[in-house]
Amino acid sequence: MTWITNSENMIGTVVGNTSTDSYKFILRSFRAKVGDIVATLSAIPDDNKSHGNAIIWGRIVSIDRHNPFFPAEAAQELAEQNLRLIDTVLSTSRDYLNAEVLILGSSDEDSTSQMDLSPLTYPVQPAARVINPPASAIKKLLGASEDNVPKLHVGSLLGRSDVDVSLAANKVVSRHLAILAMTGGGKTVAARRIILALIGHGYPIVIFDPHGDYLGFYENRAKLPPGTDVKLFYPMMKVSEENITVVSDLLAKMGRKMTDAQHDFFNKIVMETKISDGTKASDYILELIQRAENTAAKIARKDKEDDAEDSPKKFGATTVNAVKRSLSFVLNALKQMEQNNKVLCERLKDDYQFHEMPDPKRDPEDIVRKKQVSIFYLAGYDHLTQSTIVSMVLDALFSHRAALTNRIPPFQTVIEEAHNFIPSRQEGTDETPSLMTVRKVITEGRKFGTGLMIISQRPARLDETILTQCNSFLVLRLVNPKDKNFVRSVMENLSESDANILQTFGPGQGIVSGQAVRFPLLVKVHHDKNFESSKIGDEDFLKAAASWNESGTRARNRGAFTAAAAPTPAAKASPDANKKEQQPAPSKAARSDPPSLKFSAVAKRKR
Amino acid sequence: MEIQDRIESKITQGDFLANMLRVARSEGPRLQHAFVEHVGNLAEKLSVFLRANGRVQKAAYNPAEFWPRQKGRAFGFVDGGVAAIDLPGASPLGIRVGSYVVRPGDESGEREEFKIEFSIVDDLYAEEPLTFDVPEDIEDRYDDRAKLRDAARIISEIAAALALSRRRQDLGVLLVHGPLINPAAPYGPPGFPHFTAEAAESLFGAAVARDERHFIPLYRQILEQLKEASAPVFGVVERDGGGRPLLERLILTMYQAGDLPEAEKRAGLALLRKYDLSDAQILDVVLEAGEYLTPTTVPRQEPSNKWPKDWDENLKVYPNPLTTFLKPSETVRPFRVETFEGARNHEEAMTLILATARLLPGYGFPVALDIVDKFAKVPSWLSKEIGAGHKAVLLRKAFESDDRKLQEYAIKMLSVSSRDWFFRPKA
Ligand SMILES: Nc1ncnc2c1ncn2[C@@H]1O[C@H](COP(=O)(O)OP(=O)(O)O)[C@@H](O)[C@H]1O
Ligand SMILES: [Mg+2]
Repeated sequence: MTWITNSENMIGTVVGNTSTDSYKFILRSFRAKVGDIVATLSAIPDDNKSHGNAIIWGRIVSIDRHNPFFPAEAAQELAEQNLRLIDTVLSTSRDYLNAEVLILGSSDEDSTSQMDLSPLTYPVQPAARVINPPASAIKKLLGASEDNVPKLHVGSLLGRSDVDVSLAANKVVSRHLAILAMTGGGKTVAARRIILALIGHGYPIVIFDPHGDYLGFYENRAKLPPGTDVKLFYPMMKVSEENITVVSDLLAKMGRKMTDAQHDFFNKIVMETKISDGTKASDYILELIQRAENTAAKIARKDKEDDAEDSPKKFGATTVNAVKRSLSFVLNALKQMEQNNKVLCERLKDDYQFHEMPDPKRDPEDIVRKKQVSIFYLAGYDHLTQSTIVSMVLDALFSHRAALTNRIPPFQTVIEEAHNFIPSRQEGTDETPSLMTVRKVITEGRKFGTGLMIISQRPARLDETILTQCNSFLVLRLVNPKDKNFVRSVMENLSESDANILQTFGPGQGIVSGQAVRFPLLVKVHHDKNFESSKIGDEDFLKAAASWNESGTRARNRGAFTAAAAPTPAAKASPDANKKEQQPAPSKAARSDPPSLKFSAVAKRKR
Repeated sequence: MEIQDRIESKITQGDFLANMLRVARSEGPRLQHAFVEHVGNLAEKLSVFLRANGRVQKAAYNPAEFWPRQKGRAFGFVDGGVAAIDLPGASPLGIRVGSYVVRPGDESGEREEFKIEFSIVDDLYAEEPLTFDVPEDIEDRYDDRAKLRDAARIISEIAAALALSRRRQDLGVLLVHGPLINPAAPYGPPGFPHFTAEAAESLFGAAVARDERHFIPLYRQILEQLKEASAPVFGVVERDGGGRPLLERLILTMYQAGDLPEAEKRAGLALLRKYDLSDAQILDVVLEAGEYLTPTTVPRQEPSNKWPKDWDENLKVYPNPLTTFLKPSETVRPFRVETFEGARNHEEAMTLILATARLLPGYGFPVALDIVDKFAKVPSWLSKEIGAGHKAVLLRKAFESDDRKLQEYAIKMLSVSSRDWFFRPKA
């Protein structure tokens, strides 16, 4: 006897009308939960006009419970008399459980090693027995037996910790995965899990990390598989012979569109300004601005002399000034970024070793490399800067893959807080150059092995084109109706009951669907506590505020001038410093009195 | 509420309408007023009479105090259902009798026990020919199928109570849905079949001698055994059977005891007859919430002149029920409660019955009997989703199997009208 015919595995009986999509069954008490995978044996016609038995696989998507033995009238009396049901003769044990099953497909009754799912072509037999399959059968169904296929282990089936759930690694890296959930749903934990699984395969990974959620990889790098390298980068823009367009790229990405004339002028000053490799883009831009100023001055002089011999009045003052203004704008942003870098490196230097970000055009190998996790730490930069970095880096890396230069291997990019980088049109996309880059990567990425992992808590604010290009989804807890609807609209096979269950998930519980799995599954994501950052994360603001100390210098200088205006004994007898301390100024004394004293004084006065 | 007010309210509820119309013929105009006045008069007199003679008792209803006190006790409830099956040439039955035992206050998984005590789908009766054979001599068959079915239901319900009382020695009280003791004479005419040996044995719980496998002696034996059970057994009757067996018996008993002069007896009975109200209808306006009449023995096998000669020795010694009516609350009609003569802890049981009835404040009937009623009548695989297709599948499955019983069952299921409880949707 196999498990499918073993009556000990029976959990209920199919009732009512069935279809090829779903059926309902009366569930025996406590024998299954929503999300569980169940099976029934049913006859299916084959090509030869006969029929054979097949195992119909399904997932419980809802369970209605009702107690026909508990009349509403009784509830009223219990409430009015303040009685406990259990103290009376009322019954609590005979609930009817009506479970609805979404059919996943059918497989051969006696498939031994491999279990292939095919679409169900004939409805399940009413009155059929519903079976709770053993873990081994479910594992087989989930494809665990295909050992040669690389997998990314994410966790276990929700409510069945004995059945592991994995994603098909190839579908994740060549296609795109979206991880969606409200804050606290467990997106970052899930992303970390999948990244760890990719690290296990030595796959190159690029992470754009606006919050430092992934610095834990660096802190705990010793626990990663041997040979794994974790690099932390802070943003830096440099110019070089190979990367001569960086400034014009920056101008373009930062939203400074130039007219043809401005372009010509910009090109002219670039030509005239020598590049030494490794010059900071900000320094170079400064030079360009100077050159532009010179030109402007020249133009002014020429205007006066009215002598247009070698420099025909090619560039008007407006053109020159416009270019100068654009350059200044970019310069400003870069300066701020550099300032930020300094603060950052200073603050974190004890715990982390940050590197200046390599030039993605010139040195992509330093970013994308086997067994390397490259984390671009973007905390503290303004929106435009963050988006520009993502755009510049991804653009360059993608070009290297697309141009088939063979310089870098395929790699996976992780974009946290993706709504900031790929916002929908309603959100305003002006200052978000990364949007176009990601769109390009996501539509053409599969050809070049530049898979994306997109993480966001506001799916409804994401660019829909990009999200629909995601072929796999991990959706954890979602409550906002807009987000739920949006997710339903982009995920083809999310049933209504699945959408309804989203809001009931606890942290780390979710639905995974799409090409990375054979069919949608409810999962409990494995929590890799080892790789959480111990330094960056939830800060205790209450504690921080309570122990806040005004900087000493500032405190000392408080009143340095305002207080001096009022003549104090201390000011007069400055040589006698000791005296000053013995006889504090009366006003100061009053101020430093303990509050209780003051209250009692007031109280006395009142009396 | 005063009696007059109660009657007024009954009239507007339509309960008395039929009686009123009948009385109207003799009373003429001012119908309503006269009716209220006269019935009120009767009820007043009856009330005073009953109370003066200490014939009205009251069960207390303090649920917040009562229920916690029942902790650790066990109460049993029994009810059955019959499928109305009509197949030509056969008298098959579909009977299920269920039991429900509950231990208030028990927080363990052992608090409740539901059990189908009997599930009968074949013939109980021994008479040839068997179910599906065409009888050779149709005239020979006892043909009142309704009676066969009633007899089977009555005896299997009481047999289930007996089985339960034997199985669960911990029961404090056992309630049966319906009369505790039914008239047996109607099931004893010549030709009324005997039970099969197996049926009799399963009903009685032990082998039954050939002569005793008939309804009349077997029902009596079961009742007598049940009377000796450790738990007091009560029958609670949901429907008003009509007539005034209790009130008339009460007046007669008092007369026989010398407590009521002949003239008063005659006047009292005449008054009752004149307005032709049932026990339940009159007591509805006489009793207050929680009140019940002092239980009185009502002979159940009367009149003896209708006894089938074969069985009169037996019928003579049938137990008779101690009968009362309990009015659960102001707004609902009293229901009949029967027990065996000499039942212990009667008052305590009435308090329990009242408390369980008050859990259905609007319907005013012991809720646990409602529970076991639903349990017995709704097969567990039935749900609101069952459609005609399901029946067909069931039938086909049955015929694919070699199980003759299952096949018969399926046919019976399909032949019953769709309004039968076998197809009743989930409650
Ligand atoms: N798979 C999981 N198992 C257990 N706890 C989890 C899991 N995922 C998340 N959590 C809990 O929820 C918290 C928030 O998770 P996180 O991934 O940071 O949420 P998000 O990124 O969606 O805001 C974690 O700190 C952890 O305590
Ligand atoms: Mg997060």
